[in-house]
Amino acid sequence: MSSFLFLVLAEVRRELQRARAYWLEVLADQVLFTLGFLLLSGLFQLVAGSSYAKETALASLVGFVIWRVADGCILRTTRSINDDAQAGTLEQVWLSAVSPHLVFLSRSAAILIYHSVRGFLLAVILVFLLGLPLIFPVGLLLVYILTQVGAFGVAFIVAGLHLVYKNVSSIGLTLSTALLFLTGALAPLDNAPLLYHLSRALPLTIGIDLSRQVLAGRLTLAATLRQPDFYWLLLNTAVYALLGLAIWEWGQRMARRDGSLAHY
Amino acid sequence: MNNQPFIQVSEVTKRYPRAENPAVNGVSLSLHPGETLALLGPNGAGKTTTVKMVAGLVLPTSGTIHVMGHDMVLARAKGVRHIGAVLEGARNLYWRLSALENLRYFGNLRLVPRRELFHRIEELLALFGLEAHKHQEVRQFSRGMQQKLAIAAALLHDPKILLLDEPTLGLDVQAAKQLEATIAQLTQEQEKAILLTSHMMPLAEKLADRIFVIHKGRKVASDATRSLLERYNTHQDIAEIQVAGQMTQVLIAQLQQAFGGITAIPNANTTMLRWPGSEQTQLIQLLQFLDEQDQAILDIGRRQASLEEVFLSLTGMEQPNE
Ligand SMILES: Nc1ncnc2c1ncn2[C@@H]1O[C@H](COP(=O)(O)OP(=O)(O)OP(=O)(O)O)[C@@H](O)[C@H]1O
Ligand SMILES: [Mg+2]
Repeated sequence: MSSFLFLVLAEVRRELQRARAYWLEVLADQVLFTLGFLLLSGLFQLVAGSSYAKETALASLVGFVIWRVADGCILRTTRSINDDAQAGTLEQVWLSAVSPHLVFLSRSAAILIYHSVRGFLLAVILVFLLGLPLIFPVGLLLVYILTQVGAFGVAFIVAGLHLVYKNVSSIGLTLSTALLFLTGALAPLDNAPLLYHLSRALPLTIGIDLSRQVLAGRLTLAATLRQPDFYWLLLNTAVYALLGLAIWEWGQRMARRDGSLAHY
Repeated sequence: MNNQPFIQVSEVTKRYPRAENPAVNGVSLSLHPGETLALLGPNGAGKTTTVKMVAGLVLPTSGTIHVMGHDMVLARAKGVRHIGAVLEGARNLYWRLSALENLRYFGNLRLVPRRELFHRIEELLALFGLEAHKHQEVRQFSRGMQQKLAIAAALLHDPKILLLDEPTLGLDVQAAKQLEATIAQLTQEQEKAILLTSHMMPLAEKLADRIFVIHKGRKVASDATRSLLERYNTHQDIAEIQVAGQMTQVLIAQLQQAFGGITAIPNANTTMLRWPGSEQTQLIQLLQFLDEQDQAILDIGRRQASLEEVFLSLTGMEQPNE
């Protein structure tokens, strides 16, 4: 455990150093997503007219921010697999003193922490700009983490496939963008029951849904745990996380067989 | 010398999926403490594959590899702790991080304790002459500096085994010489074993205690560097004398009778006489003889046969044009 924390710290440091090197992109990204949400919510307001209440805006916002963090994590994870393979740093990870799995787990934790901070800033700015109530029930944090772990499952599925079939990492972008629309992150899919039920098989959907319930009902942690959706979320996350780990494990084994941990 | 080798490769074969021929075919080698072994071979000989199998980055198809007594397929985690490696052609570093940040990060991956890491980094930066650049991003480094930093990063946890795959690849002559000097320093350490691969025969000749020549995945020769060189008479001098005009067959026959071992190679309007193992006094006699025969001597030279020639003859490859 202590070496895990030690590694997480090292990875957070590297994430920050990297962000410093690419500070302009990071800033542009933040601005882009802020403006993007304002634009989208503005459109909804136009369509829905006066019925677009603060509650609805808050529901959209929570979905958007959860999606954005997942998007950041999926993109960073899948792209870094490609970059690391090319730079030969992926092989260096395999030469570390701990198992490469532990390194990637701590990497994921660091990426999640980094993108959560960015997501939090995004949320605070938007809440402020839209004049929404700033509330944060504790149960939300739990739901949030479970949801993001599911997203990492997706990232690891892509990364594992990338180790075997090169150039797969670029589908990370398509995938995470698709999730924005398919999971009802922006607007709940209440009006399309079929799509709604299908989308619950995706990552994020249940988590975003449950987050909205927690926010709307100001649910306590105990009340959150009593929601049936909480158990669906657990199941969904477990399935994606396990699938991600299994494909990742398979991918790295195949890569060592094919000699393709590094490719130039 | 210790009985247990640091690296023991036994009868290892690697067949990449969909490849026609095995990349490595029944290779066995061992590396002992304090030893430097050079793996030599032409492109595609199987050097990188061998090195990566030792590091556990490529799984062998058959055979076993032990590092510090640990099987690298079954107990990779235990063996890999003792290995530091700089792999071929890759940066092995993070481009947008500074030298110091890279060293710190990789030191953390190797779980080097904080305080120790701090000293180790200072020590290695000094050894590689990179102190002045420690805050610079690696992407601004020259290829030579990058390579030095990659080696420094591989040494952070003070591994018993250092694997260097083509360490001087892509470096200019000066940078290669500098790096060679630094590696030479590392080979002096008694408790380390170095496995390096190279195309550069002089590099291997200078740094390695033993040389393992591999070609098409198979061992062609393996011996102490000195015996390998002696066995192939390479430290003999070769006298080369260039004479104007084409020499007659009669004269050549006369020469060969008087001076054993001489060969004459006719060129367009000169003749090259090559005489390995000749001594100074014999050479003077030859020159006198040529003078008596009215042969105009254009050039006289002496040179040493290089490991390159040994290597080329071992792998049965063409000599570069005469
Ligand atoms: N990942 C791979 N998949 C399939 N074949 C490979 C792979 N890596 C190497 N090979 C093949 O295996 C053989 C040995 O390659 P290897 O890279 O080990 O040679 P090398 O001696 O290091 O060559 P070089 O001097 O060019 O670096 C070559 O025929 C090469 O094409
Ligand atoms: Mg090679």
